[in-house]
Amino acid sequence: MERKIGTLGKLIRTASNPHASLTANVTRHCKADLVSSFGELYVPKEWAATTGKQPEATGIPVGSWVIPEDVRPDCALLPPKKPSLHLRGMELESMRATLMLESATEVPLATEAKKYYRAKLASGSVAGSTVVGSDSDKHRRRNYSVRINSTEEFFLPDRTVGKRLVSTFGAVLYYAAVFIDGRPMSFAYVQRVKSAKDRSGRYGYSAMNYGIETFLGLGGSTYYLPVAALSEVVETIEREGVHYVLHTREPFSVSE
Amino acid sequence: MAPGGAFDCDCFTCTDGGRAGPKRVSRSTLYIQRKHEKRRRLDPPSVGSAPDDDGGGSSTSAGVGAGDGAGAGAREGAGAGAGAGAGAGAEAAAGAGASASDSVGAVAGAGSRWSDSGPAGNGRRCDADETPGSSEASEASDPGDVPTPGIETEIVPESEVGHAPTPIYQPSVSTNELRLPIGQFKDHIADLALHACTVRHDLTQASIADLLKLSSTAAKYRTPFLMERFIDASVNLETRAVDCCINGCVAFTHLHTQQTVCDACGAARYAASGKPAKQVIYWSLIAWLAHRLGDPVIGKAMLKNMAAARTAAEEGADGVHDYPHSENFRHYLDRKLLDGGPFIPVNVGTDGFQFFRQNGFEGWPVTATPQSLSPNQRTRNKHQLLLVVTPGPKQPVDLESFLHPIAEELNELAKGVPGLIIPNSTTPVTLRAGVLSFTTDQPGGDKLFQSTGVSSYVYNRLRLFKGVYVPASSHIYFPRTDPSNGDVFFKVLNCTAPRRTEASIAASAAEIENARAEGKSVAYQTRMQQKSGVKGYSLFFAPSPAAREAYPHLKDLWDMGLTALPYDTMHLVLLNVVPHLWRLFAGLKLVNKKKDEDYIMPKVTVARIGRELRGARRTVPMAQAMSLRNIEVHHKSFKAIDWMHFILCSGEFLLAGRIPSDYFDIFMALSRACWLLFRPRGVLKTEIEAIDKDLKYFVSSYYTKIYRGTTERLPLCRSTIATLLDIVPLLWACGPA
Repeated sequence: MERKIGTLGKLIRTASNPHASLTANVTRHCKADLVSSFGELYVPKEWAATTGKQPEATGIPVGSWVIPEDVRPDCALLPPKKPSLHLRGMELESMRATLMLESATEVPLATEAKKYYRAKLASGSVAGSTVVGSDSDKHRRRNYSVRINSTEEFFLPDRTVGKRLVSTFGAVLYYAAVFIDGRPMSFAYVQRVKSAKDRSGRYGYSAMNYGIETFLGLGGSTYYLPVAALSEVVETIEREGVHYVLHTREPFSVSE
Repeated sequence: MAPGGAFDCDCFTCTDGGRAGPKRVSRSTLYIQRKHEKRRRLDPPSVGSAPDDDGGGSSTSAGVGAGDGAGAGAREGAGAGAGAGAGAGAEAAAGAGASASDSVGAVAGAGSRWSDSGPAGNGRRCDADETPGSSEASEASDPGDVPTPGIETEIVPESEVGHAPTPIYQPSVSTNELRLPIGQFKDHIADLALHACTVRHDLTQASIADLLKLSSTAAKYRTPFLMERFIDASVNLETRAVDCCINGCVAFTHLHTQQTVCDACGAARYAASGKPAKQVIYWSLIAWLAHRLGDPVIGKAMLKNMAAARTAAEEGADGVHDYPHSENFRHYLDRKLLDGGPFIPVNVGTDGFQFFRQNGFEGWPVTATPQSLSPNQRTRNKHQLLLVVTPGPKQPVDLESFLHPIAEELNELAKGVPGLIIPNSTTPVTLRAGVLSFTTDQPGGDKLFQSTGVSSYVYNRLRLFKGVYVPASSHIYFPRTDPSNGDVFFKVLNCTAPRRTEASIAASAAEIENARAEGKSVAYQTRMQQKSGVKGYSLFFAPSPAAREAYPHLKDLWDMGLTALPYDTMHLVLLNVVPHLWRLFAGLKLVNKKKDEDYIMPKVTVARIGRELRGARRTVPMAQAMSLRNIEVHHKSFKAIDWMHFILCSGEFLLAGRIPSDYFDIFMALSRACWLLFRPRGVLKTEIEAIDKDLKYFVSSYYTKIYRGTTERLPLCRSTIATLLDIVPLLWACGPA
């Protein structure tokens, strides 16, 4: 209702007779909408050619790489991307370690990957990465801090090892699409956060202040993890040198 | 010639392509219209190369009549009116005169009171038109009444214009539609695209004229006038003009139909010329719903959603995920209104808006949103159908008088409008619709309900919560207990305050109206109103006997009572309660100018909070918050979306450790409730219980720890705090916010 009212103001063209002006312009808009919807529905090609506006594309953008191991069809790595390149040094070591964890039967010595910088997550939100351009720090909203669905092992009273789900945090450096072990795989290259609970940033655990998850900053270890393990993009606010992770609300519409 | 110097004109424009009878126009208009008829190139509905004088309509009538059984031949086609549509032969039909209009009246059918917004009406009448010299007599918007300067210079060769539009089909339900066959649409696609583009960008007439004159423009109609004429003839938009007071006090509808002066300000209804002094335009809800349902894509989706909604309502659910799980929708299901054709649940909204404050224009738009659309579509502006905007310049004295034409349509829709052609159905169906809920802010709701608002001892809509009058501030406040004698007004937990029912509201309204009819003093009436919180009959909640008689099919809506008028959580929580809490904690709302309350933060802390929130702009994704501003500086101009981010996300962080834990717990109880309340995907039963628990904790703790039960702190007992207790019952009744 409020948004509808917001559109009425610009339809009043004259202060001397506002209601007549408003009524006439609403009628004109209704008629124009009827014309447009008819054109888009019955003669879409001709209408698009005449207006110069193609129908809005639905689904994931062209050039995206659908994440195969995720259940949601629109979960994908989004363009832009870089051409395939060989991973080297730390990146290659991390990839090999990750592939072993993922139980790949064949872990190659050399790995070729395509790098992406944005991903649509299973939660529906779009996560970015730290490397998106020279102006990324100043002018862009930060959308690369992510909550990660992890598991941790712990000792049960009978000295056996149990597993439980925990949330860890990190910043996505980039996303990599690889073809290994006869199947396509997608990974996020993540730098873990440091916190009062995990000062070296080895695991990415957060600490708790006032019942709110906090961390001190980035700079922890880097590693690859499946993109499907990224839970959501988190928002943070800094207070006295500590980053507080805020409750993530479900937006009515996603604009990124 | 008709009396009074008026002439019957039966040109294509005035008869709406033969669908209606001749229209009374002035002599000069008749002259211009007839001259216009001879200029075939300016006459959009003319067909091919058929001669003018042999009833070009015959060929058109045949084509159209195949679809709807209209009569053949020019004269009969004009007489058939509503069925034929495109009969061109102006000369042939000229002799039809009154008989033609009579036949139109007979044939008009369900949507007969509405007229399309083309150059002329189609002779249909509304209740406001049944008085002498009614609105229809004027048709002030008739472009034919205004001689267009330089019209002769606007003539373009016929070869450039090409053939003109002919209607596709005429269903028996009047619908908003484009009347062009696809072939003709393609022929005029440049004109239509240009028109849609100029309207979308709100270009001025002068800029449109310049654009059309460009040699590179592919449009065939090269002036704004010709373009508008073409669009008017091609697009059918059902509208209705109703007389209203020139000062916007009342609309002359229902019981005001026969009045010739405004009973609020005394202004005359008609000008000296006999024309109505002012009219308000209504856009037909039936026509919009028929258009949406007739759309091959949207209509199919709506039918699918309707079937799914019915199934969901029958099966039930754990919680309330969407409107099918609401009690109000089940109310319609139980009364078998969902049987026998498509039933569209509708949400009606109204609110006031102000523009040109210096000149003072205030309008009250009324919208209807079909709930059968997908949740994603429902929130879009294009699917929020505008039905009317009150004429201003101030808010109407009697808003209800402007709602009667809408009630009339809702009554028709509740009864069922037969003859609608929908996708996937070979036979016409009966269109039904019913109001699920009304969306307004609190003053708007008070107007709809005819409530006295915050100036009554009983403000709450659902329950009878009594208030306390404070003479010093001339305000009524709503504590749990009377601070003077300890009487309990209401309990937060195990609340036993009596609920208002449809019968109790009707009884209160009748009592007030009887007192008024008996001539009791104004003071007596005011006292009664303050006690019950009801000012009198209300059209949608406590109808008068006359309204019950006029709109018998709205009984199902009336039986819902005030559950159909939920509090809008955006206004209640985000624009009232949350800002109130911030003002308390920031020390902006003082009681007796005491600044040493333990919940008030130091100014330095408030300033730091503002800076931290502003500094978070870069670290908060756009999907979570579009803009983050310094709350210390800009709290007065914060919008609902800003307060939503504060209560859902940033407030927890900003207040933690800065206010005592008791108050932080109060804030977090509201925050937790809002996490679930403002979730778009609905809530489970356990979650609703959690909302209820948190809200009750919030209200209870607010009264205990912030109000503290003293007389001097009564101004903290705002009605909005007690009103929070109604959120959960209304959530069950109407579905998620």
